[in-house]
Amino acid sequence: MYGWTGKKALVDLSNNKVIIGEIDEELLKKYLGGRGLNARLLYDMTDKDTDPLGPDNPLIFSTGPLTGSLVPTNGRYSVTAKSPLTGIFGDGNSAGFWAPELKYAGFDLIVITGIAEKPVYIWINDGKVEIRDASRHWGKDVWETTLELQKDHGKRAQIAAIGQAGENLVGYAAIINNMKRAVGRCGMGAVMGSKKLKAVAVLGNQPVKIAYPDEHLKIVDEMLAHIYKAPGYPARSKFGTTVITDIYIRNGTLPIMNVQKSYDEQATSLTSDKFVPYTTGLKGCFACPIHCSRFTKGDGEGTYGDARSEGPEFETIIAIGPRCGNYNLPSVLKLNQILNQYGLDSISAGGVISFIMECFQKGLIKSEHVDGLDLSWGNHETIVELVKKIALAEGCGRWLAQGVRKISQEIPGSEDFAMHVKGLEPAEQEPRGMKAWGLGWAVSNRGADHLRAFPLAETTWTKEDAIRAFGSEQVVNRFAYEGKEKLVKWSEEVSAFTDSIEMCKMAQMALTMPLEMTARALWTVTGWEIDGQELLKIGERVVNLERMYNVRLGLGKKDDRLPKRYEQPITEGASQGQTFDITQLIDKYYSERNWNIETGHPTPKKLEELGLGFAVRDLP
Amino acid sequence: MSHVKVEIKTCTGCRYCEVVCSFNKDKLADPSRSRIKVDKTEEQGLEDPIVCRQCEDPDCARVCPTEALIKDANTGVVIFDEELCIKCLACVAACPYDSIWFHEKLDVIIKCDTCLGDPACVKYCPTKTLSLVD
Repeated sequence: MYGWTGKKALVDLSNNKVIIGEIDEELLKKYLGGRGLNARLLYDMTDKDTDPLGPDNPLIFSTGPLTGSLVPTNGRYSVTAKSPLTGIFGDGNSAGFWAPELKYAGFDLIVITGIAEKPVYIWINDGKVEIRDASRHWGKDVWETTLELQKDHGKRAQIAAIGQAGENLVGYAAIINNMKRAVGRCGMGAVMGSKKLKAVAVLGNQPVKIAYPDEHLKIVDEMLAHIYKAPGYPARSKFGTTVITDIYIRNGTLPIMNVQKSYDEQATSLTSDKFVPYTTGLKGCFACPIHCSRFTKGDGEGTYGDARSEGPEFETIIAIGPRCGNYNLPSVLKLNQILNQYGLDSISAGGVISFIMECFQKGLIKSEHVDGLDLSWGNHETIVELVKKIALAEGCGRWLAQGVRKISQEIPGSEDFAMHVKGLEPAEQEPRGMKAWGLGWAVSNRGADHLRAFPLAETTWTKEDAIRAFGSEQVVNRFAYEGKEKLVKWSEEVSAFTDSIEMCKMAQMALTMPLEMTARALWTVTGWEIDGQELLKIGERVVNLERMYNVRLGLGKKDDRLPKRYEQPITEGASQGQTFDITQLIDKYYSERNWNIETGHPTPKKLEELGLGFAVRDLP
Repeated sequence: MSHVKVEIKTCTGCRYCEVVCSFNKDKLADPSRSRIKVDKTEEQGLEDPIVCRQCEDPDCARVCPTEALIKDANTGVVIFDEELCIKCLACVAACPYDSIWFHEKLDVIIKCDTCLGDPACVKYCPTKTLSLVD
């Protein structure tokens, strides 16, 4: 096989057994790999009774057909399981260097089931898979674990590990590779912890075979030329995602103090330029010319002077910054580091902390509920302390580890500002001032999340492009509802296939890689002729299958909504007066998808058309 | 003498050089056989691309018992001839910069030849960290 290795490893931790097998080529062509392939396996391997932290919930790692090739930004992977945080479909996606090394080690896919008797890690080296003792790593953080395993297996071994948060089954524990790249969302780290699996280490020298080498180099050159020429390249390659802060301040779309405000001048202390003095170097993931990441170090002064880590990214800066009323930059650097070390999703962690800060502000909880801590907005010492307590399951940390939805159920009167969709804390956008993102959050199959739709076109495309693609210039008016159902559907499809070939959406979407270019790249690697339309069709298949996963659990239209707070008008900034009303969009979105507008479920006809006939029986 | 020069400060650690090198030599993607390797110290955010400096007076060639490594007088590149190599690995031990390797699986010495004056790693380096100097 070209591109894919065609190999999978099934690791049963309960029985200490590994089975190595082939992956059906038809399955790969139907789902590509990564997110799509994982979704299909999760669909087949779990049902509504599966306990997310039980032995039957598989933890599925896989990468894509382009991964390890020369195609720019190819180095991503997805980890999928039923989410312990939300109880529904869950996955997380990360880049760095782990994914290509999995391919070089000889595999596209690792499916882990069962629960080990004592802590273990999985060592995948050149076609061999071993379950090894990890007792001495248990209790250590991600960085310590990574360095210890690299001492044993060499620096070129790539490590995806959990920290204490995963061991302690924190609902939003992450899996971290390369010490700072997070499989962040939906608590995949907790699933790993439940299996007593500390890490998956990979290393190998099995080549990724390229079907048409000469054509491959040509398309790689075209893709690189496209990236270097893209209008977004200069800023993205210098400041990375931190430029989003600058834009959101301008647009009045920052979630401040658990979304009580959408603009605050103090946020200017966290704009992209403010991080430059702390930046020691730009960083790129495998085969990535965009190098949107940065390594940052504290200035050596004060409590946070010893901070160091790659990042922080926009989502982290805002989640543990303005979302919690915190504008202290050195504390943001330190928090970014410890979130990576403990292995926590920064988005959900910020969501939880800002939520209880508001509960405290409103007098719904007292400081004795949180071990006597002062929960005043912006108290960064408290934020640091809470992150530690959550990760280490100390005191109130165990309670806060459940996520916003469950905590809110124990605090009467907090429902309307419990910021989550389907149990997942939202990312740092403001849907009232960016309507497409609001719809994207509402319908996302893993709960509130910016990366499922990622409808960047709303604020970056020209009117002409919007009319050409979606028939309305209103698509690029961020306050308008018109046409957003079309934009979101298309963006979800592009996201889904991009996540399945495991390329980076920074290239595919933010820097607008033409679909035909990506399709051609896929052909040169795999030898399989495919066009952009087929990629979109696969994306649609993945979105529908993930939706069916949740339909089988009883979800539908009633769950596709945002927290009540967004029905109130924004009180300040450039989006002042804006509200979000899901009824303006939801039926149109279902119609656009040919779904049942009463239930929000795919129709049997749609499922058959997408080759998902097997799921029809799961419709209620 | 012609060699690939590294400007260490701008390296982002993306390892494009590695995968492109392997492709240029063998039409496949496998950084383990790359003639340039990025040594990463991730906890400090440090990158150190390691590649042959084509030394004026190369220790690898000096210790080679079979003249499998020879300094080309015209280009200055230290050329490796696989046919003459007896895999004694004296060159690997002698190199003061650890930039010549033995690939166990392929059973071959791995060493940069500057792609005969047109190095692929230099062409694809996103930050011009790598350059060919005379």
